[in-house]
Amino acid sequence: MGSVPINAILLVRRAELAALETERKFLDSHRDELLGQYGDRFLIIAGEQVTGAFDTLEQALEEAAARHGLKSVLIRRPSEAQIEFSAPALTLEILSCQSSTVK
Amino acid sequence: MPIFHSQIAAQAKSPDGKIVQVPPATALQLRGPILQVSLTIEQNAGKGLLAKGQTVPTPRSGLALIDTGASNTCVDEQTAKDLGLPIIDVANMQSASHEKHSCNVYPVQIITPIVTLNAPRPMGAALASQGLLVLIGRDVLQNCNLFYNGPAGQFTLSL
Repeated sequence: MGSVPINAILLVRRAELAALETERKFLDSHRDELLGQYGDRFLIIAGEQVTGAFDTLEQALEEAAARHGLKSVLIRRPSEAQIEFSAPALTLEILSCQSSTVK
Repeated sequence: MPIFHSQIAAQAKSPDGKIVQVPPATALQLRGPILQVSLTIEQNAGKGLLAKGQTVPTPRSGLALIDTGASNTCVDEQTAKDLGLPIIDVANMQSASHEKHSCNVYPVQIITPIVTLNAPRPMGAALASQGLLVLIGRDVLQNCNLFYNGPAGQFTLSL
């Protein structure tokens, strides 16, 4: 069986990590301007364009799907930083609900 | 008020190869508070898709583990991709022992036997390799009561 070159793996990982990079950069670099224009509403950002601003996340999700279908778009308030979260058992890969002794 | 109540049942092989019942308390300790769920696109996003004339992805079924140690809910990344769910944000997973890394955020709804759970912005993570579809974190639990009855091998989740 042929092995997958490490560079290929790194390229795939890099591509995966690059999700919504344009949109996130746009939001970061236009934060003050967007806050002034839209306040603290949920924005739909596709590429470098704001395609909608809504009071609730639910409204933003509905409109994003109606306008963009299943295409990935950034939905975030301009005041929000990137979400930080922790899940220690997941990180340590000790979640398994399948025991070697119990089925 | 919807109430989900479960007693974990399990079997194991004894040293002589016989199948034996594992006491519920041991089963709950080993497997954790798990429940069968289905996963699909968040319901408002689903409405939007229908308005656009597109079909809503068919739900996938699997196991969810309630993890009070997780600040946010996670869904299996590969399943989210297979369902064709859009990425709506990127989050950072913090860790004391590993390098911080980015996770995609997907709009999903988690359908349990009694109720649909609202997890507004769950993260994609490699859960399938650990036998899971969903990890239910404290963002969902903040709207629930969870009663863990270790001696009886039971747990109760209510909204």
